[in-house]
Amino acid sequence: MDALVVVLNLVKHYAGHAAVRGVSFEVRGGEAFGLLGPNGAGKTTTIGMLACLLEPTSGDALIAGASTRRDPMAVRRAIGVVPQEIALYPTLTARENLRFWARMYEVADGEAGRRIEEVLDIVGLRDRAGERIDTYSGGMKRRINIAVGLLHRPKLLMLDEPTVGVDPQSRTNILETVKQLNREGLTVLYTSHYMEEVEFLCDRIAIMDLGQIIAMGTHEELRLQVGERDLISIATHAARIGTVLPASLRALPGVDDVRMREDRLEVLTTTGRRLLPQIVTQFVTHDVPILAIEVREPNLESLFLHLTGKGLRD
Amino acid sequence: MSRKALFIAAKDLSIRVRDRRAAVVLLVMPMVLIFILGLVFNPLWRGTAEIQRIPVVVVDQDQGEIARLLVEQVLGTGAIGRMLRVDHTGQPAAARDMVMRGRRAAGLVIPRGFSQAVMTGRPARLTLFTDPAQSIRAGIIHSIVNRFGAEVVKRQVAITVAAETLIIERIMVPSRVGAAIPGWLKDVEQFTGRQAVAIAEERGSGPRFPAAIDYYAVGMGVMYLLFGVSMASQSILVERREGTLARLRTTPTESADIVGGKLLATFLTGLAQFSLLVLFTRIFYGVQWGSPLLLIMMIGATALAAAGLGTFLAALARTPEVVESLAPAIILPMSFLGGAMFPIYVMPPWLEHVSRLTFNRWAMDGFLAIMAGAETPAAIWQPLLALFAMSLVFLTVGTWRLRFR
Repeated sequence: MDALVVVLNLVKHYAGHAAVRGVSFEVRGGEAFGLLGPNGAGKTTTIGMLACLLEPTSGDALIAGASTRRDPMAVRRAIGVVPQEIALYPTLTARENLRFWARMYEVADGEAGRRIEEVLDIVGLRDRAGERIDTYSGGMKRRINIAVGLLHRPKLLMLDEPTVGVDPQSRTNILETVKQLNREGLTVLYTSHYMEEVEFLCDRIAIMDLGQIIAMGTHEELRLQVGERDLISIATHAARIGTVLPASLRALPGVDDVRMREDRLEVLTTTGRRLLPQIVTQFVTHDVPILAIEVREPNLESLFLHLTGKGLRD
Repeated sequence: MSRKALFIAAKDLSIRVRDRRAAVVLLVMPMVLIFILGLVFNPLWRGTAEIQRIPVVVVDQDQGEIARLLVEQVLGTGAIGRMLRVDHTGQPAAARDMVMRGRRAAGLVIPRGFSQAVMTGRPARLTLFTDPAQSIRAGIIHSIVNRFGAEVVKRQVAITVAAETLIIERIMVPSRVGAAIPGWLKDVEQFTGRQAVAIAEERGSGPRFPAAIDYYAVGMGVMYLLFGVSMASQSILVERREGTLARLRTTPTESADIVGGKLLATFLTGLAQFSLLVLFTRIFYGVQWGSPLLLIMMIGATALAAAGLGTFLAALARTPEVVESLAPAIILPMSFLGGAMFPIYVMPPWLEHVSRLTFNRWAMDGFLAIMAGAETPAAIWQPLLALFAMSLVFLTVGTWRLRFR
């Protein structure tokens, strides 16, 4: 599919300080693309430039074929932006907020009412739409915050850390909503410093640090960049292990190593969970009981650690 | 003005009408202040009552004809009578106590035998207690009593000379002289009533000052209008802080529409605020605002200039809190200088010139002219022009700064 977003070497300097240093990536239509990185990595500045809020120091971006520098109005019509803040009017009701933002997004008067009900249904707040925003919980505010970005049916929805400060239940609800929108064909550009969110939502991920993209690809591609293996840890009775079972496990295809750790066996593999049935079969064959199994896969956190020497939340 | 600017203004107004704190500050506070200031300073504004009536207590132990003349004719009638508030007590000690406690500016004791002494040409004595804390008012009473004493002496001299001459020349016997003295006194009164040099006084028409409550309706109205628009102008800074301004800028909305919408909302807030104040003061305080047409013109010009000033303030500040602290620092001195608290005519000439630099002065000049009976726009062209000029300057600088920030 053609690229809906083409980012070309974007640079942003603030008073001599480089917030974004030559970021380039593409987002294909219908794709969910994630920008992952710790606070201060340059994600919000990048989104700000794509949303035509900030003028790039150099570089450009094309969204739906329009340049953010040369045709910002066309870009603004193509995008829906969900900012980090609850950018709503607290003393107005949710419906009044949506009505106002629909007008700002140039939704025709005749169409606006229907769109408002539609986005209220998407975020599941139709019943509470007549209440003032300042009476809402944090999670509900976040959901209306997202609803605003959907009013004009944008080609690209940009969400900048949309789950900051919400309870786990609301967070799950928000992620499910965005996932569903993406399944229905909406292109999503999602920034977060929560690895799990980006892993859950995004087809492709760019990891940012210090204003640069330090790794980019699908989840699998990124894992390969780390070069780390999965660790399958099986708790058992140490006295029953003997020497035959470890040798049989080592002989399985994809197993790199087998280690004894007190009352558990650790199998190092590059094939992950797919090896589990064969490992269990070996335990049954050799009549060794399995008390518990844990699979530890390398994740984006370990990739970030591998690339930068620091954690995502440092 | 684009539709989006109208939508932004409508949204701002919708938010503002729900703000109870603003309603209290912008409508209830000026109404309360107008009432208090109108009540307190009313005497200063009322025609002849340039000074509040002076409280005087009198102890008349004499009850004679001259004492009655002093109390009823001198202290109780005419211009002096309107200036004083006289009451009576029986005991000199009580009168003294009232004065020493500051409850009366002066206490006058007319001792027993006073009239008889005056009539027979013997030395007479009056006692006056005065409150040092009310030295000016007490001084006025002292002058009045002194003057009365001097008049009495004049009459005594005239009567004594006449009586002695008649007795020495044996024209009348002393017993008949005594009986004739009251008649002579009346003749002397008639004679001294005629002035040797007549003074023709013409009181200039001068500026027609409205009643205190009318004056403060204008003064407080203009001052709180400035506070109102300064609050309204903060909305753009609040939106910047809350992130809604940034979100607005991610929509296909021109920054001219955003600034225009905000400005329109600020102007309409000022317009509505002042119009409501005019209505409330008319209904509750009976303030006579004058020609409705000219009033509409003045309210419009004033609200526009105030909106310009508010926009300028918002452009100077980075946060709503800065405007909150900056606004009183600018509005209060300007209001004092512009005559919101004290009328311009009590200011020294140089300060009166300085006051022409303030927004309040021109607004108040316009409103007071309408109150004084102006009927055509020509009567208020100067304030209108000055306010439009101020709007132009403040709006140009303010919007330019806001758009390019």
